[in-house]
Amino acid sequence: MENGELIKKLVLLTGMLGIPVFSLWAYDAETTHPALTQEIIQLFEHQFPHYQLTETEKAVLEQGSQEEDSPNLRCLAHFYDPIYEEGLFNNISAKHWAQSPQAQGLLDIKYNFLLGNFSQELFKAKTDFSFGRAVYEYVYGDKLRGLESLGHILHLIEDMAVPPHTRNDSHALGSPYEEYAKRWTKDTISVTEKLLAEEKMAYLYDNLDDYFYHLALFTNQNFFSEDTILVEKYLEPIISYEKKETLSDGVEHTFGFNKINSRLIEIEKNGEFDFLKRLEKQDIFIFGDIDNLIFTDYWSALSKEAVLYGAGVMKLFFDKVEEEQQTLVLYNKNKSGVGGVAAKVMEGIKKTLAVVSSLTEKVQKSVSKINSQDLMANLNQSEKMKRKGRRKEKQRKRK
Amino acid sequence: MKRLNIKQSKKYLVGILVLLVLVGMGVIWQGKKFEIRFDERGVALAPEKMWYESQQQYMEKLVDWQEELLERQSQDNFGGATPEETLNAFIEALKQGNTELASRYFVFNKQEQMAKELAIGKENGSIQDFLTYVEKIDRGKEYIKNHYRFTVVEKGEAVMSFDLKFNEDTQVWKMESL
Repeated sequence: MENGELIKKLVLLTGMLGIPVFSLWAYDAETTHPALTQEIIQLFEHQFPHYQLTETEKAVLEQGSQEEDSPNLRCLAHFYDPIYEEGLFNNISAKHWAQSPQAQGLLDIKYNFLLGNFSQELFKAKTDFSFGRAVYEYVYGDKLRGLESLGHILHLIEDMAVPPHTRNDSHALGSPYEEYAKRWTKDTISVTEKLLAEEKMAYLYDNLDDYFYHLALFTNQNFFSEDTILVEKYLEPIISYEKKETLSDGVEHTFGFNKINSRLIEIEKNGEFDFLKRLEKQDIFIFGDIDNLIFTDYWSALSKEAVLYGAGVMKLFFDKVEEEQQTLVLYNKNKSGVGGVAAKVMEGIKKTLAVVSSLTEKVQKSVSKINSQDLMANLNQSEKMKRKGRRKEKQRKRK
Repeated sequence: MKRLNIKQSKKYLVGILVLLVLVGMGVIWQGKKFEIRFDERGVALAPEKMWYESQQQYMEKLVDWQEELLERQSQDNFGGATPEETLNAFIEALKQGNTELASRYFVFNKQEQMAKELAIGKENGSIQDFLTYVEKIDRGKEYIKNHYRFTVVEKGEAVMSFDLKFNEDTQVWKMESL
């Protein structure tokens, strides 16, 4: 079997394995992610009118934010716990995944078959949608590929506004909050409109690490995920105060609020029925309520933060594009490994050849200026001098 | 002492190499296997990373693990077509003292734990107390698609709830929490 065929089969096999199983763990890739990306673009264009994207460019950004969940292996890198600085099950964190062309390149079988970055350019793997790749492609390669990669980064930022993703809660069998969030599509969402009404501005940092850290911290410290309610591992959030509200069933329900006045949890006073401890009743904390007030509060706060941070990331991207045009940092970084050495050797040879060529040219020019009769006269003169010298030598020896 | 000649030494060397390869294959095969386990809250416990596994191999194992979880969920067909049907069947099983049967109305990841707890509840009499509470259920609502909640009200206040989840694969409602 030829190598090419083998690689094709391996790629096909990987594709077959790529059922989006792990997408259960986040906002829906088909609905919520493109909806949030649409809002991010709107806020970015509003705050920075100098940058206006075409419809194609917007579509590519949204496409990138949809595709980050596929193949399913990628989803395992969509977690980042800012308290312990780790990813899910000690896998790479979203913060590092977003900035690692090497890690993302591991999913490209052909790239790895040809020894990856050792023999090829750094930004060559088809599966690399890292931030550096986004900037590199936008400056030197395919602008749309660059924006598609930026869409992937926005997906990761949006995931930092999902509590399980920042509290390392795999929640392998799904969550009611994610089920709730599916209702937010490009047609139903209106986050930017609210942000503009509140005169909120995109957050601005000069590096991607800060975007991941600050958003993940906000989410981690203010909201629960279903399996991390008041667990020892995390000191926050705490229930700042409780309040009773009458819901659609005509009954009073008790809610626990966090420090930013979002409903965190429903509390059933002395509600837990523990068969093991018999009648020893205690408060029970329920994730969600019958009118979805809790999830609405979660969404309201988290979607706004996702958009504010996302718009900031877009600004950072265009700043880095301008910076790269001046510094060529990524251009030089791209030529690493053997490919880089080979490129440097080739560059050296080219320079040497250029020097030799220039010298030859100079010599040729000098030669062409010399009159042939003068040259012959000079040669004759030189021959005469030599003969004279030889005669003198003979005479000296005789003496 | 008898000295080994070159031929014999080669045989031993090949034998050792074969043994090493077999042991290596056994270790790798063991590493690919994982057990589906849950803690007392029904949270699935992820398989651990083995020392010889690359990060990518471990990630692939996690994907297999989750596929296995979903596969098991898709086979869980024990329950009623409506939330009321499942809850009534669960209560009926408890009234009969059949805690094993009652536990099967729970989602698959909580069945083992609930079987233990209900058996203890039968012994210490708390199931009887529980049944008096269940009688007080007077309302329920599908608050999110496939998530249903029954509420027990006392003096105009919600004091207890029972959550059920719809299994889309098998089209049955399962008890999720008490």
